[in-house]
Amino acid sequence: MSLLSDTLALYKREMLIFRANIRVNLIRTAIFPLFILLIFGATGQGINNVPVVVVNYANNMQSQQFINSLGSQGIMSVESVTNQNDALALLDAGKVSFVIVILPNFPTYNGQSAVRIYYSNTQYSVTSEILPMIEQRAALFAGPGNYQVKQYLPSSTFGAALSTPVNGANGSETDFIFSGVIGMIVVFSALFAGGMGLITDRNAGFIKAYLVAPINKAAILFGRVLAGSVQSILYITVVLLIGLIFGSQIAMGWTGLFWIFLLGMILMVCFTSVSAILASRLKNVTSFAIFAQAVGLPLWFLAGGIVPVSSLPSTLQTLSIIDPMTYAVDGFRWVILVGTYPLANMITDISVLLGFAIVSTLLSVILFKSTID
Amino acid sequence: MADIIRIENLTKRFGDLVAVNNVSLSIREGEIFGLLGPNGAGKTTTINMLLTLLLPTSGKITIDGLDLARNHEKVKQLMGLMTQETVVEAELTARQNLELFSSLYHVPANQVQKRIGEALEEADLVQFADKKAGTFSGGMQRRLGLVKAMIQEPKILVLDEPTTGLDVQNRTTMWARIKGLNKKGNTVLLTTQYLEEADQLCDRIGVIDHGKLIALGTPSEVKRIAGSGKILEIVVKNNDVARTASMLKSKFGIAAVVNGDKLTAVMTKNSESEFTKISGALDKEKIEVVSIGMHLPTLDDVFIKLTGTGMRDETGEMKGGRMNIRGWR
Repeated sequence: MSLLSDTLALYKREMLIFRANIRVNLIRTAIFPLFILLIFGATGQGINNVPVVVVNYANNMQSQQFINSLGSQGIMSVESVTNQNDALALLDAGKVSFVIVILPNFPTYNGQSAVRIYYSNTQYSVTSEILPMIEQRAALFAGPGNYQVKQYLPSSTFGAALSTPVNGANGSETDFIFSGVIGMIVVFSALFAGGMGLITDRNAGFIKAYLVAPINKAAILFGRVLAGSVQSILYITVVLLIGLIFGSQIAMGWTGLFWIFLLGMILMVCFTSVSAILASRLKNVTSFAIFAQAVGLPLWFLAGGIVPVSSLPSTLQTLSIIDPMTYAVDGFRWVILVGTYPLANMITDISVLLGFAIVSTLLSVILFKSTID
Repeated sequence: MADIIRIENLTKRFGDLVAVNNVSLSIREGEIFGLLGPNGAGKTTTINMLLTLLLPTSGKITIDGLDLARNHEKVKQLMGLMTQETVVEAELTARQNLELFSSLYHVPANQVQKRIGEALEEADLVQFADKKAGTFSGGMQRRLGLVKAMIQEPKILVLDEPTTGLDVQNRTTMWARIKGLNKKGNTVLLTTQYLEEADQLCDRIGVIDHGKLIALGTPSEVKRIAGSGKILEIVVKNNDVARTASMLKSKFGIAAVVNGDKLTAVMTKNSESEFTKISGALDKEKIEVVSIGMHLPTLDDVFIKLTGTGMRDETGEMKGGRMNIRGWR
């Protein structure tokens, strides 16, 4: 009871300060997506160089002609690997969109087709446009019906979030960047609103004034976290509006907004707590600002904000798994680019984010309380 | 009068450092008590323990009959705090400041508006109620800070350097306000750097240095520590200081304390006639005197006598507990 009312009182205080600085907050929120979209949004229009990997077990003239014809128009960028497992591992990691396995004795039918075509469900619109093209070539070189098409499902739940869709119903680079920028804005707002405020308030003596009052100490943090998640609605709205100006669309439509705001708010809670943890260890605003920059930007890159996670070096991908922003960006991508949000991804994203939010909030409360006595 | 705050054998250690060393003292209901000491002497640590911001290493604090260790919430309700740094939230209006603290002190909802109205009137801020506190002058901010500290109608008002940084006029009106609150029955505990302030305001004072209570009593009782003799102060041209000191020693048997170009000494014998002789001697020795005077002992003199330093000793900070505390204070 007391915790709730104290939290609300301090939430109200945070919001009053937020409202007093609304102009600065809006401008700061708008500048970043504006520039990112201006700079990166125009690149990579249309589908080309779709990565395809071929395993050629036949290694004869006909199979070579088949492979050459796949790469002839520049739509697909065809690479070869020597065995099927390596090829499927690439597909699993989201590094390629298709795996084509050419069986021995190609193009002869040997009871189980001469060609197998694997595709991953993370390459939504690529699949719909490129798969018929591959099938048509396979029919041409191996004979009609002498091929199999298989959907390849990612092997791990974390893998699902890592191989977040690169292309979708909305296939433009703007949409791709735009969905990553939402995560960036939320995380940076959280890092600065949470920890920076705590440090300035502590140095100004406000925290002391609250601690002297008969309130639950955790309310000082909870009020801030609550205010942060409410403020994130405004920040996300600003980014969405800018995206709209740049011609982006949310493929899922209005229901997509629900998911964007939900994921964004949980992400805000995560990072407000993280910044409170940082603030409990750092004494002045300057070192906090440096630290927040140093943490925020790499996390954004690791989350696939601007380059797909699947294009990152595999050592960095391990870090992406433990970066909570990865899961929020995954959700944004499905909703904005593809228009569906597969249940497996939804469950993974929401549960990882919620888990992180709970753990980081508890940790920040423990650290905060321990620095009081 | 009954004791409203009783501190028994209070000790606070930060590692090896003893910030507060076995302090015992009582504050009576309805009095203005001043806690004095150089920076880092232990007065802030003591106050922080009273405010439940720090847990004592040992010792017992009783406030209004309640054991502090077991009644944090109730005791907090009894005390209002105004510190020099936490005066008001600059981004909030005067009214919003008061509303925030009404909520934090759980003022009953049906009384909030009435109390805020009274507080604004009390602070002469009615026409500035909806202006941001950050735009207020220093004096206005202190007034708001004071009524903010009183919003839950506490029995005890804790003022941590309430007038530091205020100009003379605002300081005088602040004193009048503090006295006014005290007349209404509030016990006031204040810390200050200004001995003049303690002298003017306090019914009793306690002097803390190196974590120990070294003097306790009414201002006049404490002043007696400096001795019954008057205080002689001579300021001379800098290169004459040593010569003056040795002259005072050899001719008058006075051991003067030298501080820059100033010499201070306690007069023991018939001070008026001595004073005339000294000024004559200075003239004869052709020592260039900037100023010469004699006054009754002030708390400043007591302080120098008790602690060996002046009140505003900048490096005093290093001696105290503050340096080692990492936390939210």
